[in-house]
Amino acid sequence: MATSDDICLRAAGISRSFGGRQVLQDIDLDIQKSEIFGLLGPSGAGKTTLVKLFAGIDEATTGSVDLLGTRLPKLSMLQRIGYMAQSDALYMELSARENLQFFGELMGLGGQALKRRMNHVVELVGLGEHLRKPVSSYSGGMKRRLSLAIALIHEPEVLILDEPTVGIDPVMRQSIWDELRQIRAAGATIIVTTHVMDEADKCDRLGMVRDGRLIAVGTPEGLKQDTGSHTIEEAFLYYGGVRP
Amino acid sequence: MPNSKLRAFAGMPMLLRFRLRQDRFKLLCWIGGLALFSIGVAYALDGLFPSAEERQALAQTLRSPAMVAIIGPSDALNAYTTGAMFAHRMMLFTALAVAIMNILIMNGHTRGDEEDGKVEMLRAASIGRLAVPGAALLEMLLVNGLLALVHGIGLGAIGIATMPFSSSLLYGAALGAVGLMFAAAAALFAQLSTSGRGTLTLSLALLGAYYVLRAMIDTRSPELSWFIPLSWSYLTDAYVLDRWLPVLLALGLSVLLVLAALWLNSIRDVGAGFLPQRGGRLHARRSLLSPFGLTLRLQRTMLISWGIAMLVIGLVYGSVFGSLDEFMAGNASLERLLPPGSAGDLNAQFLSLLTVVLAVMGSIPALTSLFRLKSEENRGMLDNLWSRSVSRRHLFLLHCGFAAAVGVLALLLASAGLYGTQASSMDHPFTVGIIFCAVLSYIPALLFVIGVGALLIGWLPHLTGLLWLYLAYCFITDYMGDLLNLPDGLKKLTIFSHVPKFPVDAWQWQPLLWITLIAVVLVAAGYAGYRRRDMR
Amino acid sequence: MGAILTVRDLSKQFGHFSALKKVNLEVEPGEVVGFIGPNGAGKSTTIRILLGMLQATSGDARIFGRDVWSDAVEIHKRLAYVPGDVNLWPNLTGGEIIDLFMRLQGSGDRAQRDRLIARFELDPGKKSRTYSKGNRQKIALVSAFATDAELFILDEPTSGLDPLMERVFQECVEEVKAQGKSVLLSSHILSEVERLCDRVAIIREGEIIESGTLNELRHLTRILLRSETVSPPEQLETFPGVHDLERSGSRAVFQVDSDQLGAVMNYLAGLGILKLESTPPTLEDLFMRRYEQSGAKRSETER
Repeated sequence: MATSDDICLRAAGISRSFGGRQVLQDIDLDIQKSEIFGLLGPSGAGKTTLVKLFAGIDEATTGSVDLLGTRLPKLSMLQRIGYMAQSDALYMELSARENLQFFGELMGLGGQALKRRMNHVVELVGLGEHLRKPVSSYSGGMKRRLSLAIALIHEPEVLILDEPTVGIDPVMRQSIWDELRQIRAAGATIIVTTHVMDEADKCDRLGMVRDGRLIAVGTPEGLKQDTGSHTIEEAFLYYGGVRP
Repeated sequence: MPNSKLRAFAGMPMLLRFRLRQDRFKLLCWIGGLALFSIGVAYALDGLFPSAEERQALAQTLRSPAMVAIIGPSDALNAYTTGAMFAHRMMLFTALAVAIMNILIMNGHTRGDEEDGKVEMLRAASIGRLAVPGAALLEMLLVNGLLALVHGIGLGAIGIATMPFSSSLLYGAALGAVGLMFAAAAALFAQLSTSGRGTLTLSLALLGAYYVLRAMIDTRSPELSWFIPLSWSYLTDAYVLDRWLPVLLALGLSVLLVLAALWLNSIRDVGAGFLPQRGGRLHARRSLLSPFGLTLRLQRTMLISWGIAMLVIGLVYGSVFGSLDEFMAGNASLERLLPPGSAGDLNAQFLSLLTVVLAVMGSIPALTSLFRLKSEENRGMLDNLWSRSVSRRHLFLLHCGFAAAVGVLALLLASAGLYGTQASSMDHPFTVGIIFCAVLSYIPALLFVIGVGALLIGWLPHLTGLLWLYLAYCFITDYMGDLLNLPDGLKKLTIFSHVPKFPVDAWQWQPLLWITLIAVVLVAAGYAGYRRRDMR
Repeated sequence: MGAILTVRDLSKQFGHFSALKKVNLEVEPGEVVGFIGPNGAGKSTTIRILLGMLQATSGDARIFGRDVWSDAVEIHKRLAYVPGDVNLWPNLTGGEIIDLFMRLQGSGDRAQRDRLIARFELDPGKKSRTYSKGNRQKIALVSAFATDAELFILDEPTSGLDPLMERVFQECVEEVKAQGKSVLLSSHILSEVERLCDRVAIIREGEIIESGTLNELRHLTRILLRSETVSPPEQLETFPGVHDLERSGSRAVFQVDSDQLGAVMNYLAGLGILKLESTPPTLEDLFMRRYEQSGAKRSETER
């Protein structure tokens, strides 16, 4: 039984609506510390809205989100979270280095510590050669990598990544996942939304979201068994209503 | 959230430092350029018009409503000191430039969609929701303050007797205050419109509207000019009456606008995200289904706005002619000064002056239209066309032709407006033929400008900004040329100087045909580059 | 020859940088060819050259027998392209854009368009500025598959789509293939490439380093085996081509190079096989092996 000490994030009765539109309904979820939790679901199911609630940058209409024991949203908690949005929010006219420096300083890093972290994350995402070029010249995959580097720069306790590896080739994807596992081993919790089924398999536990509801939670193996599927993709299609 | 008001600005100092670092080159160019220009002109004026008589002679020509409409009024035309002359010629025009600088920089920091993406990221980094616009506004406060100081100290330091430090500081403060006003207005508009382009258009439209309105008011009812914020710049009467009130008014209005912008920003965030969308068309109308149709649709709003603008500008300037007549009739000394029958000449002179201004203004929508070809390429939109059966030749020539049509239409509308009001307000109005010929004689020059634009797009697309600089140069030489006694060589660099100034000069076909021919060659050369270069 | 698309010794320089070095590629009629490689390898550059947006520095590229640069407009009447990053005009609706795209390409019918819009679950009445990345991709996909094009060039067409839509996409590709049309598919989603492609070309740093059918390529990689034998396979580690062996008693998990498979199987058979599971190498394995860079961590154990 998971004690409250082991719980990184607790969402209770979450609903979120915009104007008249109900985007999320009645979501209850516990995410453990030091686990990689994946959120899967068709486009428009509400995954992005949900992780924004987890990251504390949006507020639920009803229900509560508690992160590391603190009720969200709370400005001071944001320093402990690393968030990577679905669409890159980078300063196009600046270089990658300047972007990293800005966001790093924003997170309270400075001097040698900042330099060290910058070197680390840059090497991780493989942008060393392109560091001084303006971001406007980057391909989509490169921008994604930079966004990831920025989310990692302050060594957050909770990492929230929205479709992090879209447009990134498999080799880079692999090394990113290796780093994610290392981060988890160091004690951080990682929440990922993804479409890539291979990545779903690498998560410790998965949550399937459809039409704003959480319809299944479990380990990849568990979900496959429950739906009689060989692959996560089949399980997904089952929950998506395509497979009978 | 407790303490939410303070928290709303969390992180602002950091953001501000970052913005200043980000913009330092741009700011250096603007502030440095403007200051150097102002100081240079002051210095030159001092040398060019050392005696009071020379200055008075010049002042006489500036009394006419025509001059008031274009340059602005002055209370010191009877005692035209160097200081008064400087402020009269430079204040309004520099205030316009300062306003444009503020609008452009503010727009750069509040561009709709981009900003929303970043706002999310910044919020995730615990930046308060008002810190973003707050930092931008603080930045402009510092920038305008610096601009004011540099002007104040620079102009005072030249040592011209009639331009002491105190008045120079007022001059600088007036510029800074007007700049701040427009920065605040731009921040407000950024909350109202959904895109960067929308904000820019609104802000520049407001500025343009003020300029045109004040032309009309200054010639008819100068008392009303206190209602036009742009006019507060020259209502300070620097070096003459030295009024600080307009500066205070401008600062006061700025504060109101800033508060409004911040308030809108704070409530907008709550509702941000999904706005219920009106259902749109499920199918395209036939008119959209071609490159021409697409271009027309994309530039529709710009065309309409500029069309109205040019018409209004024509109307306003046309109305000045009536005042000119009255001015002539009531001014006995002037009638004595000038040879008989020359009243008509004065009108013709004003018309010739006007047509150049209208031509430069008409170039703006034409170039904006042409440069869409480049901006669409930069944003990756053209890939949609290149991957289908649209040829480069088709698209290139389409945009050149479209821009030319835009320019011609702009001038036509201005002519119509001009004719309309001058016909109704003058005793001996110009005929339709003369008005239209005078304005439309600048079409070849417009085509030339488009040609240069086409050449740049074809070979050096990243340098298209230079063409705007060139247009500014053309405007300044025309505006200042007589005053600064610029050498002919520099004047001849502007294409507009090569157009015969009808009706003062006789109509000549030759230069017009030559210019048109060169324009065509430029477009062809531009195409040669366009068809062989790599698409971004 | 009859190949729909032929690329011979294609090279492209940007200043000093060699983006493409003598690339060779071919697509036959009715074939689906996969084009894969790491970011920055030159896939997009190659495709942009094929579409006439960039001019090659040297080499030859032909589609339908015509030069891709000088005959671009003619070629494009029979070609459909789906870009990786779809940029749309914000104030036009999805439906308007699809109609526009179809008209500019020059073929296709309404019924097909409407069917595709339904299959991709797209709402065409919204302005494109409200569309997510996935929806923008759907617009590009509908616009392409609604035409009568003979060659489809698809550049990471599904990176923003969820598996439900991915499945619809794969069905579309299979349908056009059944009609005898050709597809050049560039993708990072290797499962998609595996499922759809007849042949695959792998590009790295501007050069094609591997090209052939999946079966041909599989010969160049390893197979994962789990075995349980009557007698413990103590000699297993001495076999050349055996890697990452984990042995406990009679059980062994290891990888073996394809060309050594026969020898190893004989050895195991000699020990008496109780259980044997083999997993054929996936494209991902192949890819990873060819792209291993120093410092990148291997993680076959994670499978």
